[in-house]
Amino acid sequence: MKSIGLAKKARPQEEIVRFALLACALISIATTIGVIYSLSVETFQFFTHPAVSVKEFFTGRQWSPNFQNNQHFGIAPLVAGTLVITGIALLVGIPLGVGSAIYLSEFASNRTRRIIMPILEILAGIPTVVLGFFAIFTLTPILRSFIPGMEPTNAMSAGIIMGFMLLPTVSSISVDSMRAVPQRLREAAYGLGATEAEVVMKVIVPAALSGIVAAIILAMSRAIGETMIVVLAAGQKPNLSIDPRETFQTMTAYIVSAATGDLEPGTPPALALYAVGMMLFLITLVLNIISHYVVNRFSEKYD
Amino acid sequence: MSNLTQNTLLTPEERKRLKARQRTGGILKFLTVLPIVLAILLILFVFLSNINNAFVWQTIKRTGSSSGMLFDKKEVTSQEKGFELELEARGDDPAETLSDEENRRKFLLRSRIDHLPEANGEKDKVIVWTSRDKIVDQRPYLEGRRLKSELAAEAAEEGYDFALNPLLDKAFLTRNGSSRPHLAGFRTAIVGTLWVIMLVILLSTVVGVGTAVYLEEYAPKNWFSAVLEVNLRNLAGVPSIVYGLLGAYTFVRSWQMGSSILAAALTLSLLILPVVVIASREAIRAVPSSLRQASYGLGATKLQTVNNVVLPNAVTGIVTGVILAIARAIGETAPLVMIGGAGFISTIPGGWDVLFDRFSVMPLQIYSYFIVPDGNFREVASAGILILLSLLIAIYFVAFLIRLRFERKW
Repeated sequence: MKSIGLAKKARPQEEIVRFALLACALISIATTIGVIYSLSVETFQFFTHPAVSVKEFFTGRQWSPNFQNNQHFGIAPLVAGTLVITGIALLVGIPLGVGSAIYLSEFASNRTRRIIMPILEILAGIPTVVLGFFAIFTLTPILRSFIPGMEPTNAMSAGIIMGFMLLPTVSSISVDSMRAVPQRLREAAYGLGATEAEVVMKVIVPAALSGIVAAIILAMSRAIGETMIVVLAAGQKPNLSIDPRETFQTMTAYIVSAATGDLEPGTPPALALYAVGMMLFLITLVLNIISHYVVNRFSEKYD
Repeated sequence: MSNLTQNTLLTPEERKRLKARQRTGGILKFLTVLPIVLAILLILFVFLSNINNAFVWQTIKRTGSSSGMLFDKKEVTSQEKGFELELEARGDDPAETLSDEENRRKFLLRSRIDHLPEANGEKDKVIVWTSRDKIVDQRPYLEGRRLKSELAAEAAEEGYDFALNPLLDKAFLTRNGSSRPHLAGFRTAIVGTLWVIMLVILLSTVVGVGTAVYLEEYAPKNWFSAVLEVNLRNLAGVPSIVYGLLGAYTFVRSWQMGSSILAAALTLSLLILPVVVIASREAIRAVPSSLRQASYGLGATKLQTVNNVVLPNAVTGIVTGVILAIARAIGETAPLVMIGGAGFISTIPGGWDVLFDRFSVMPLQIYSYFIVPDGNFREVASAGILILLSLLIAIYFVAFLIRLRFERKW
């Protein structure tokens, strides 16, 4: 029989589409290169500027880019602000997130879960500028009314609200990993006479721990990169302290204040914005990589 | 379980222990419900506090010649009529001012018509604001209500008006931005959001779905595809403000787009790209491979299979994913602050070069109300927040309905 040779028929549209799709996929690579390039250029200029020393940037204890006679670029206060607020956010966000995940995965009926999941989605969808307004104008006055020494902008209200912002992230990833625990483990535990609480605390949570830890690390990375809540509620004063009642400037808040203030382009304060951005990018990148590593390396495999 | 505690096979000691264990279970259950209750309370509280702030009691000092002039709602049958009454009260000739194009524009820019449900103890009054009027005092709804008699007495003593003013009204939606709180409108922000989001939908859908199709249907299993995967995963975790730095450096400065709608749309598209890709890939992966095999078996090419089998069956998931990503883009503030989006612009973007117009979007406008020193803008921000939140809730609801109505299980 003679072959009709369909396979050899030229189909240019197939190849064109393949290349168009490949081009789409390459845009994400270009984005990464763009991020690294745009951050590196100005960061390099910053560190090679005569007024700046690399050593001071990492070890200095004072951040005062706009003081003409006393200009210091020690990133420690900005890191302190970021860490204090992230710490509070995690203290609030982890129990809320893991707790709600346990409820949704283990206790809630299918019906309840179908109602609650979209509500958490809405919480995740509230723009952070709105949460920031809530933190500064509603929560802060409440906290100030009973905690003495609370400043008008402070780490605590920003951190608490940020904790709620993290809830859906922690919750949804934890729920996924808890529901991936095979049913027969639960049944075996019940068969041994365990109560619901014991099944959860001694079987489910340990089995899903890698997912929960990954969720927490991811939440930490989001807290560090969060901007609007801290810009609105935590203030704009670099502060090397650990007192959550005080005003702090985080790394993200400095970036915003430097971008919105009228800084001369090319001067150290304007370049510092990209150096801080670079730090932020690297820290969150490392955290994301760790988070994925934890999932891949430590997740329990069941056949 | 409860019958076990009465079981005579257990010693009293064991029974006590069992009860204690079950009590721990009850406590744990309560502790895990608590976060959900708190989350719901927070959402409600956010809404209520903004509603409380957006409906304010104002003490108004009217400095124009129409001082103390509140019109009856029945008299003001149209906006035009309101402006006529106002001009008349000021001693100007309404016909003259409103018929001249230039005067009319100026007058409308300086004045805003507002419906006050309650003013100076009377119901249903209409006020025409002018830029000369001043807000002396402004209280959120509940606080104002509590102090109503005091505030009203104080206002009467000074000859000021005291009125309940819902800031969230038609005038707020239809007026442009202004540096005076009582003249402020949200229209520039709404139009700006529409333009930016339209572009974002276009760009992120094309590129995002394209990437997803490539990765799921075309990509060979090699190091390059692995790099693509890892790269996308890491992009998803990059803070939004870093995308702002990328946009500011690349689009605004290097490519000289300026702080334009196009620069904003490109930045936001890149920001949500990983989200769109991940959601689309999940939707594409959910299409069973038996359908693809059947298509190939019928002699279809790869392109025909993707077009006629894979995409039509994945469209629900893709659309929901895109909608949720767009909702995120609508609320993003930080990257747009970085690329220099404006707080107050008085012209609506439009025309053939709209892509290069300066812009404001809703969250940016809300943030700008925070930066200005005039404290009376805080309540205006709440009105804006309510609009933004209503829009987002509507979008989530649509996504929810689509999922409910069209989702297919294989």
